[in-house]
Amino acid sequence: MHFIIASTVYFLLCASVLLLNKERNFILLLKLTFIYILTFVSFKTDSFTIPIGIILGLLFLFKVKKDKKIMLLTVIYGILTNTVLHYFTPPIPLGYITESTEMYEVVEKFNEIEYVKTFLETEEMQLNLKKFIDRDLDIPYFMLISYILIDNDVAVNGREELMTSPHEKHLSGTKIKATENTEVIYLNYNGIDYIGLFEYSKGEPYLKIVVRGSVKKRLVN
Amino acid sequence: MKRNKGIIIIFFLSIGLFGFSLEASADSKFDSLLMKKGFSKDEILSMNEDTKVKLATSKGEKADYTITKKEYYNSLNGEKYEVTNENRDQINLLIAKDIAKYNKENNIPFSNTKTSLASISSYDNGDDYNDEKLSVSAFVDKSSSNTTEYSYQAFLNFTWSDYADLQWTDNVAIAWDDRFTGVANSLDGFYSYLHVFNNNFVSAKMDTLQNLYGISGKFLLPNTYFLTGGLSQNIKVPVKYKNETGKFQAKYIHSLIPFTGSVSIGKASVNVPTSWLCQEFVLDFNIKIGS
Repeated sequence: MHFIIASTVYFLLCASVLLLNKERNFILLLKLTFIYILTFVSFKTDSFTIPIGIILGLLFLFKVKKDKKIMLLTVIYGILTNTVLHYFTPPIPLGYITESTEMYEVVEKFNEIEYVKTFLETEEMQLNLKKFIDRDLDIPYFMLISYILIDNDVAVNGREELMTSPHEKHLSGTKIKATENTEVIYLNYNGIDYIGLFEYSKGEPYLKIVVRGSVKKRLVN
Repeated sequence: MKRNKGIIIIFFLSIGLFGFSLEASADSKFDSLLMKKGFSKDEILSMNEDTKVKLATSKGEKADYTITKKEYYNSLNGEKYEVTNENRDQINLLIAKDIAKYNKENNIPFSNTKTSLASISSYDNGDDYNDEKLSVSAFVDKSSSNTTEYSYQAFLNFTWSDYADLQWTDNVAIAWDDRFTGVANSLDGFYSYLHVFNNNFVSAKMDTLQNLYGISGKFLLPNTYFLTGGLSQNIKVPVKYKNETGKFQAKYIHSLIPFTGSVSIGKASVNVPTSWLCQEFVLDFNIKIGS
């Protein structure tokens, strides 16, 4: 994530320099790259950070006589990038950002949350949820039913019992979202709301996120 | 030479007639198969070719059900009116007023202010809506059974036999109660129409969606004088519910103004947002499970 932001700013810097200085100068580009990278060097301890690179960059700015404007621009870009990365960018890899978005998508539908659980594709839980489900059935829907019944200590002894449970156990809800790779299903069981987010891996769905609580009224309506 | 010409004409005519008779016999073969399965003449008449072939070639038989037909109009003020033969004229006036008001408010030119479907009359003994333009019908076929489950196929079938005055996005849907469950990967939604310029049939897939208690499809109504299509899915129900009365609902939603979004499907109910200015043609099924 940090690398993507820093690289984008670097390309913006190069573009700005090219616009300012029509003459293409390889040495200037090398200097600019060196100073920009230098601004990222810092000394960190648990309690404080010394931005050594930025200090050196400023010192270099006072020493240099040629292309002073461009060097100033480079140091400013470096300072701004460091500030954004340090204060405004969460210290998590890009992959986790999409996961946080998925989580938010589910969580924001609730008024009150009892718990949020996440599961891996490889967890044994996935096999337990699929125990009585074959390919004919809507797999994510019946996986969520299985999950809810397990969560409420209700035993299911076979496929027929699972298939009759929506009617017999008064489970009802709707499919909130269905894309090629994701399905989000809402179900209510005895007044408790559940939303399950399923993801497909190699064509097989698995329960990734489940939230239990009380959803906002508009969803029930 | 003249004699040879005559022979050639007779030869080609006979080939043509033979081909026609083969097609006609295939058609009547499907009709007789459907009659054997328990479908009435009126029901067969209201089926499009695709539905006819699917139903005739399935191993099952017509399920045991009764149908109630209803027609509604969702007005601009959010109120829903049931349309009957008694109030049809007043409703048609209201529809025309609503469309004019909507078009004025949204700066749609007067030339685009079209009228709605008028004077829809339905068969008394059939399960379809029919006027000079649109007919909607739905069928349930009990295709197979084993020791634990009964399998059904549900069909919604429609045909426009003339230009629709208003061509926006129309929606179709079938919903069932929570005793039934849709079979994965069996959802099919299609429509085909005559291309006005080259007079060829164009076939297209509907934008379909499977929900927990039903299926829905939507498509842009083309500017054509003939359109036919349908929505279908295989459904299962545990044998445990034998002889109980199951509920289905099939609905065709004809939009009168442009909409985004989709209908929502509840237990045996297809729900249309109140903001939609549209006509709803509803077929409610009471189906005897297992028969």
